[in-house]
Amino acid sequence: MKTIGIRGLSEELYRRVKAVASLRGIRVSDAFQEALKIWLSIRPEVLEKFSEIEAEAELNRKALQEKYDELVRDYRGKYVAVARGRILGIYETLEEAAQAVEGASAKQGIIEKIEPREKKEVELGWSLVEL
Amino acid sequence: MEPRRVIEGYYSDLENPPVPVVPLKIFPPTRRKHIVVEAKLDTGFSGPLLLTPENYLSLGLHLYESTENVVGLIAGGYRVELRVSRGIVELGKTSVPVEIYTAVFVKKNIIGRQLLNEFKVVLDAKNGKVFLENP
Repeated sequence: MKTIGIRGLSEELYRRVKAVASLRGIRVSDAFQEALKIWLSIRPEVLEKFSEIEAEAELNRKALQEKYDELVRDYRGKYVAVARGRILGIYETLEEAAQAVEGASAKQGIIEKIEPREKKEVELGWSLVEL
Repeated sequence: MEPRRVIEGYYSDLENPPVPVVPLKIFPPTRRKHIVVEAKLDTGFSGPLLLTPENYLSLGLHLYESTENVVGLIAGGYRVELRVSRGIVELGKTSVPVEIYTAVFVKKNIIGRQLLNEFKVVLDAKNGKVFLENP
């Protein structure tokens, strides 16, 4: 395999990559290839769109978080719709909640079934970023 | 009686070796619009459905997101936060409500085990065909 030198690469960054690669039992070149594949998969226009969405999502999450315990106590099992930084209402079905968000001319919306939350982890494999 | 075969797919030559893909019709929760995409069957993905950000945005799925904290574990040990939304997948005459994930670096539409496990999956690689059937 060809040897490629990269001028200007931070030595500190290289040391960190090397340390993590070593901990994971992989070669530094494999670590760089994985990182570059992910980097190449990110399209700037998508990133920009998600940044806009995220700004409103942040407000929506905050509005929901502030009231969530109350909602679980009073409306467990129903759906809450959040958009434009406020709770739009409580609904019987996901579809009704979705319609409420659509009607709010929002950049992002949250629809949540009101129930206690838990963290979930999924395996993604690797094929999703193949070039 | 419910038909046994739900949908037929094929082996795509876009990857080497060829990969099994099936056509999916995907709707947002309000069913106001839909897109038809080809999705790769991947039993290494434990979730239901992963869409490219372009497909996710074109369906407006950012309007129906969940605050559910879903972390994707990529082979190699990386953890990434996924955006989580909801939609309806139509496979032939069967409609299935599903969670739909995306992330900025996703380049392929992928059906994972959580959705595949609803069906009997037949991979007929010899003849280049894929079938999802009712069990």
